[in-house]
Amino acid sequence: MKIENAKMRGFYTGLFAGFIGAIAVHISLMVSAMSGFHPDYAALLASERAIEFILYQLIYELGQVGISGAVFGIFYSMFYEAIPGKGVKKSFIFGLIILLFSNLWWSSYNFLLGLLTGIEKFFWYSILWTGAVYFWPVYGIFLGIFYERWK
Amino acid sequence: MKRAIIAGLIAGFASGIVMFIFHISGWWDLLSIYPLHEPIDMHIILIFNIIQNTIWGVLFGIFFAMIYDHVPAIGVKKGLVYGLIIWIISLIRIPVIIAMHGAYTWAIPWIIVGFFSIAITYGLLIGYLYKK
Repeated sequence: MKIENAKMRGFYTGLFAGFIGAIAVHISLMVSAMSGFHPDYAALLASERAIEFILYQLIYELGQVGISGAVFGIFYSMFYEAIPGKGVKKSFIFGLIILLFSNLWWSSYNFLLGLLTGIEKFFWYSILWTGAVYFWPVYGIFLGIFYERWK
Repeated sequence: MKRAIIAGLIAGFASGIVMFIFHISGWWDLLSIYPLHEPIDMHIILIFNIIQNTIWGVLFGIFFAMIYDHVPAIGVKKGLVYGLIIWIISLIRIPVIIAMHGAYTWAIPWIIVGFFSIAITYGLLIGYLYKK
């Protein structure tokens, strides 16, 4: 499949890469819940509503990462030439830039607030947002694979 | 690169001041209790806003220099477009996720304050101060 318009290509490849990123989020969330990292989610997984929770959470992740992925895919097509590297390496770097700009901004926000106030929960939020480290690089890799193939 | 760092530093500092003005205006408290129901001293918020926005302002400034030629528009408008992109990536995505979890009274002020401090103030200043 070829898409001539670069922005449309960025949109569609970003959307599909976002869906794959969402699955990565979902798997890691379930694994972290089962290993006791999210007590609320672990309780839901042990309840009668486990299947419902798994499905709704997946739909939610597909929606939110898919939409953000599509928008960021447009940005990828806009700044394609300016990003260092070639092919998948280029999109992987873009994934890391998105991780830095979106999640690490909030991690540093909470970390700094924790340092200044001494309130422990801000450090916890800081770690929580850094957790996105497992899906933006995945998004970046698949964005590059789709983008280069649909050129 | 040095010019981009200095421009980012100044623009980031100014955006931190704008963010703080939103805090002391009381407008934020009208919609939500900042942040996540923890009352925090105004001096800490001032220091926090300035440090956070200045550090990130420098980083955003470096990226602006890297992608300068590819940002649409010219002059100050280029900075505004860049500010909007930063706002979408940094200050829309996470508040939207938080809003989806029910804390929309916390998320909406962040989106609005982010628009005025990052998209407008930071964007305008970086566009004005940095030229290749």
